[in-house]
Amino acid sequence: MNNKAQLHTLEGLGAAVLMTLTILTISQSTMIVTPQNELAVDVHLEQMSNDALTVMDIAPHSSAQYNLTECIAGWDMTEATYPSSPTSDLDELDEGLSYLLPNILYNVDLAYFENDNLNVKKVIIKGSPADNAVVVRHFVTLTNETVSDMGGAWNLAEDELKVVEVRLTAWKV
Amino acid sequence: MIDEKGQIAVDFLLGISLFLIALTFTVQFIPGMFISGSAEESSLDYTAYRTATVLVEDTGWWGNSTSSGTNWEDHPNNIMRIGLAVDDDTSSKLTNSPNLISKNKTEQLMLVNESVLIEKLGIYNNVDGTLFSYGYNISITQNDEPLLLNNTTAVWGESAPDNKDIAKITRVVLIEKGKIASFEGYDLTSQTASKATINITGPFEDNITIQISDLNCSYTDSAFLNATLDGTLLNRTSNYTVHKMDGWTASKYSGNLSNSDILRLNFDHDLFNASTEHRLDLRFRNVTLPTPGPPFARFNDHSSTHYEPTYMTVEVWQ
Repeated sequence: MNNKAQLHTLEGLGAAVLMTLTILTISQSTMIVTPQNELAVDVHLEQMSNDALTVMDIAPHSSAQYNLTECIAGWDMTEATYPSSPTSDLDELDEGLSYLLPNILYNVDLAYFENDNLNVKKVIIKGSPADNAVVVRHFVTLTNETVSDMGGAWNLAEDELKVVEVRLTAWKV
Repeated sequence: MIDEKGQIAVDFLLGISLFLIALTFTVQFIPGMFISGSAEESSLDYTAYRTATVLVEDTGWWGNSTSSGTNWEDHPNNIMRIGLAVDDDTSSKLTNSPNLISKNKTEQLMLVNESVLIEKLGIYNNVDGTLFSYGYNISITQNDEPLLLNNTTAVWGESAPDNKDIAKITRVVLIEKGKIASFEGYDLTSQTASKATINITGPFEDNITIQISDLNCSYTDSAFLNATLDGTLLNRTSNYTVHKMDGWTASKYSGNLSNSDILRLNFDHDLFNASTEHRLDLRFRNVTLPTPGPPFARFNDHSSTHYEPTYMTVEVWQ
């Protein structure tokens, strides 16, 4: 029997039980700790960022000083530079977003067509986005009237409508 | 003789059976190891996401055999869907105002039976036709504290346990907070210098807010001094509060005023119980009010619904 170097039946059973218990202990102690999976965290961040833009957009005049369209209409067309002028001319937009998105950093770009060219301008820069950043978009429509009311520098004709994409890149710190 | 026939040895048979038994036991015992991305957890995520979306973006719906509409808060016995979004057209199932939360609907949701709430919001798991309700916590918070509506906190469900997987979704919403009237400096009427007079007709269900911007503060020591209602001096803490606004951020007002400041005065609704016209005098120091009165500006002509940003959090667990 000894010459054949076989595994004894009871030893095999014992080894199997030991291996199973080890794997069980490890899996029980680590897997439960993960609070939420990656996807859910991304969805959460995207949802909050989207809500912030929606809330800025629909806030009635009496409750918020300026809504999203008015903030954008008042832009003086100068891009943000980091770190000297991170919010360019859009302080109201920045104040609103930073109040609604605590502990979240964000950049804002504006995208619009001018003479058949798509312009993408950086208007709020808070840093370079982390790996888990999400992008949400909201469209606003500007008219000559809203622009002149807000003292912006958009050069629009009397009957011109300008659709601007507000692109918010948000990430957790 | 037997060896030459190539039959399975009893030793081998025993070994392979033991191995299979051990393998089966392992698979049975630790199911999570062999299923990638456990289905249980993600269904919790979907439930939390769905519940939050339905509450924030839907107006809800009620119906019986004869009629239906989105004003389910008026028909609590015929609720078909629960949603909190404000709606101006109760016959249309759509709303133009997602993320705007109706106060009446929120207050009615506090009165809804828990089993109805779980069923209508779908906070349960359906296993072979048997319903297991999830644990849940839904709360509306402002400045990290639960919102108070009619002296009840806007919290549903139980507090989340520490030792379980919890799916959580937070939504940014605007909630109705009574009435607000916005005045600019030249809208305010005055009979005597530096004293603005506003007529207010009660009663109100909620506290009312007066917002004043673009005041002409001609001196460095311009300031807001006090408020008088029908000749009685009001108490700054118990009757009303004064805040300076900077975007959404409110800070307690003290010191001097400048032209760019926005003042927000919040008055206790109990002051205006009688349904008569009240006269509110706001006394300033060194502020020029160009429009003479009477007639005085009326709160009720300028007022609209006041919304404030809050967070709605939905947590769901097994």
